[in-house]
Amino acid sequence: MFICTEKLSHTYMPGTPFAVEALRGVDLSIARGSFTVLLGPSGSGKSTLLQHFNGLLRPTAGRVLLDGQPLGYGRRELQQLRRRVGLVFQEPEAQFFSETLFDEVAFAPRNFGLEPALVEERVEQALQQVGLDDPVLKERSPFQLSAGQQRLAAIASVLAMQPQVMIFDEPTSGLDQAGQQKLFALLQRLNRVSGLTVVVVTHRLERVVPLADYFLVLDRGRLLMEGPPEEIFLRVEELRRCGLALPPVTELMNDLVAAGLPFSTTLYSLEEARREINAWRKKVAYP
Amino acid sequence: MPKVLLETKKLTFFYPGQAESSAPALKEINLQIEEGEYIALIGANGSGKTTLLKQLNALLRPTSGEVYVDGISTTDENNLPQIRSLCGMIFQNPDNQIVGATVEEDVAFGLENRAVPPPEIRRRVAAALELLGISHLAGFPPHLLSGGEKQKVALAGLLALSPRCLLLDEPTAMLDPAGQAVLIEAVQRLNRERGITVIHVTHFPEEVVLAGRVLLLENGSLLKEGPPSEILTDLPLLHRLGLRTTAAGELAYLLREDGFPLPAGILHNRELVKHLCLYAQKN
Repeated sequence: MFICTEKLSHTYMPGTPFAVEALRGVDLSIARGSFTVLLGPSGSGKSTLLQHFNGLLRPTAGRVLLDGQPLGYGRRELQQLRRRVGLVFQEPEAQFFSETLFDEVAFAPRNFGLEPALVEERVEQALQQVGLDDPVLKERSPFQLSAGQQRLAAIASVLAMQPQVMIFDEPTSGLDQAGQQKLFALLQRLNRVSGLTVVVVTHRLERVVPLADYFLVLDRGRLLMEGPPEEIFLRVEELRRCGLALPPVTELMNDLVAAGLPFSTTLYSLEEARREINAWRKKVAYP
Repeated sequence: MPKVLLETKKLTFFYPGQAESSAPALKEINLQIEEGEYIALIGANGSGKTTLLKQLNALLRPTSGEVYVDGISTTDENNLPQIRSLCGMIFQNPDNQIVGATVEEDVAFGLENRAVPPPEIRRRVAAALELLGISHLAGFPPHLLSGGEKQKVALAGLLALSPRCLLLDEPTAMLDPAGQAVLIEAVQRLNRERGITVIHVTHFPEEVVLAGRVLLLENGSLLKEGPPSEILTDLPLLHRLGLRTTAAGELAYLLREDGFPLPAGILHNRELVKHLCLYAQKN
């Protein structure tokens, strides 16, 4: 397994009246090259867990392993770790500070001390990956890009480190449908074409379920479920109990089944549902 | 006859520094919103939704044309305090508008600024927290709350000022499904039971169906308006703009394309369930 946690616990403000146990003994593993989705209600520990994957937080107890090696928390080890594991925060464009898109994306490679020619190569590649490789855009202020472009630019600035793992915390919040679709297509390309391990926190199940191989579900700091979508979304009652929704199409199929119609409830996309209902119609109309 | 609470007349707006030759952020928008309406404001990113919302409580003011809130023009700077106590605004990220060290203090902030006497402040803060069911959080530091709770605290801060209109800018974008349900339920109740006018910007079709009227913006112009049953079922238009309707609406549209005998205008799961059951019975 590529990323593992062993009995990982994290307590914020330990020893104070405000102590919060955000993670409680989490054991999980994420396969190399997988597309993993982390689900959980607000306050379940998702963001805390993500920050452990690239060493922004240190375990209160337990440990995190990358490629079989326990994470070290010395300066050099952390620097190495962060080149391998890229983390895209919620609304990452809030952290822009450079004058041009090029400089913004070049920040990390320059910071790692790469030669100017190599920096340029990295920036070109990263912008190409996200579809912003346009000579005019490159010289524009990142603040003048559209909302969707800003999000892509922020992702490019992490990709420029050429990490092996990309972690996304709610990457589509505030984007419209077209922007969401583009963003998930990018995540899919990074995973399938560039071979990156992708870990994403999102509530946009209708878009992510068709792309994901594996789900982790956190509830109040514990790992409640893990498995492929067809196992997770059968556990409807447990999901509802911790405040999670089904993908909208799955919800609809569940409603149809509840009304006595003979459909599968392990369908996640409109196209699958469309095929299922049309096949049923043929059977009903021409028995 | 309900009165018009919000009105725009040929509202046109350029952002400062935006070249006059470029397309305006808002273009000749004429709108009338009656007191007590629940409006959903939709459109692609960059279509002008947030800009229009900010015009309605004078955070932005027209380049040309007029905006009236309860008959008061936003053009005259002297009117701004009055307008802003009529129309309160909630942003996408509650962290951007929470200032107090405790929930109670945060909700009291607007009242303190208006020099309301302390006993009255205490009464109104308690009432606002009660109304949203978060009285138990009164002494909590806001940064320890969940996103949904924080968004309710922001909403309570507005309610304490007794606004007649709530302007909501994607208030659930950062919430989980449970937080989303709880906030939307609270807003609907305020609209239904207290007659507070709501203008709700959202990308969620499941939220748009709850509105009485939908306004659809494209590139700064008001492209279309009507009830959800009309706007959310015009799939060719929505898809052209990169928008989407509910899962039941999308699926019904695809099935109709395949020749399935379904009526137009399906938006809710229960409607699709009903029609598929009818089909099964008939055959």
